[in-house]
Amino acid sequence: MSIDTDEHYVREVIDSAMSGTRPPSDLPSIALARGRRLRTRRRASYAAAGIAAIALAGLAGPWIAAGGDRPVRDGDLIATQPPAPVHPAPKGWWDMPATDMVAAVEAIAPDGVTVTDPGPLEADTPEGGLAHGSISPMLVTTGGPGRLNVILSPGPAEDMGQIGMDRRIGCGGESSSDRTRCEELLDAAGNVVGHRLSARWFDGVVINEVVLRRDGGTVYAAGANSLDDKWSEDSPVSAARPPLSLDDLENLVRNDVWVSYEP
Amino acid sequence: MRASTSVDEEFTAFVASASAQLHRKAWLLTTSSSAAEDLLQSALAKAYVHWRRVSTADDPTAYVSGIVLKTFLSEKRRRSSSEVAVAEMSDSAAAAGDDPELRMTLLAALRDLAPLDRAVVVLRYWEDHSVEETARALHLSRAAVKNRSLRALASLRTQLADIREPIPSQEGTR
Repeated sequence: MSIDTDEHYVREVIDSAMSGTRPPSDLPSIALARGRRLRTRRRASYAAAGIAAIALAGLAGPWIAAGGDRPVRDGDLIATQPPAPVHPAPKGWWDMPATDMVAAVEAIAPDGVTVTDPGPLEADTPEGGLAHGSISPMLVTTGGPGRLNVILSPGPAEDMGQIGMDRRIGCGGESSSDRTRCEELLDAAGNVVGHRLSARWFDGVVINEVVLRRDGGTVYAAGANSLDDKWSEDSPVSAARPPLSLDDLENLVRNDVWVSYEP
Repeated sequence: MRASTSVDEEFTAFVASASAQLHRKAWLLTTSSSAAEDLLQSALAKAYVHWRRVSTADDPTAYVSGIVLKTFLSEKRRRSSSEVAVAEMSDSAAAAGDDPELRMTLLAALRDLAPLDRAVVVLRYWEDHSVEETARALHLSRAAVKNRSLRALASLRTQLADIREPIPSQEGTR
């Protein structure tokens, strides 16, 4: 079978399979409502970030000159809303309550980095209640605000029938960014147990990410110089750099506070 | 207030006219009707926030189509830690389709592809983009697009074998 024949056939199948599909009839109204909410949230978060940055700048004094010399502009990159983590049994340290996680980040974060907004703390589930294992606080440094994501995940995920972080513990995957640097983290035996990744999309948003397998689970931490819930090509840049460097993030994921939690 | 109303009206009209095409793309990328709706809503919300830029683009539909693609890729990257693989058991969101069974088979086959491979298939074989255009959209090299195309076609050939009707060999025709 030739490639041309395959291409032709795939085109035919896609056309036939999708030709009768229609979007939901209420899509225009839903999209409009969601767009309005996003616009309102964005304006509110920038106002809050501006106030926090001004307050921090007043405290920072001589350090204010560090960074922030780059113009803020719309970026083309990717952001984040903490995914609603799936936590099947068994329970473990990855079930740490979001409030405890925020407190841990506040304790671990280097001098000059302040948690100004803990982000959503309620579980994104029908039952509601306190979220566990995932946070997305807003951080402010002298260079400006940004967002952090910390996700605790059980593992190996494949055993639990979910697509988990173990699929991308190393640097094997390809990124959609236009500049990506990735370095694998090895244990004493030379096994890949995580990675440090820095990705820049187009001309704006930068994501720093460190993932580390620990004690039967995984600690994931990523920060970006954008306050968007989801980093995307249209995410506005909020600072010259993400709030935490790769070293800061590695220090965070290696901290024993995460694996010491007992549900 | 008048400007806001005008934007809302323009945006609503745009969604009404372009949503069928965008929805199909989202569905092919996500292989799930519910995920497609969420992806499309996310992309459209971003388009609304940046409506001035979208509405003045040469091709607003293509512009938003690009947002759909990039939102898909970024969410795939960010959410792979919490995603649950679920079989799409029903096709209710598009029950009016001509061939739901074929669609289910196609979506199941696409689901077996890596997200980036799936994006290559959608751009190359559904939107008919060239290798160069696809490479540019996905920030891949031309060679990477070709390799991913070959890999995806090989997988689809196997997955779709059961429904495939004999097609006369066109070997050497291009």
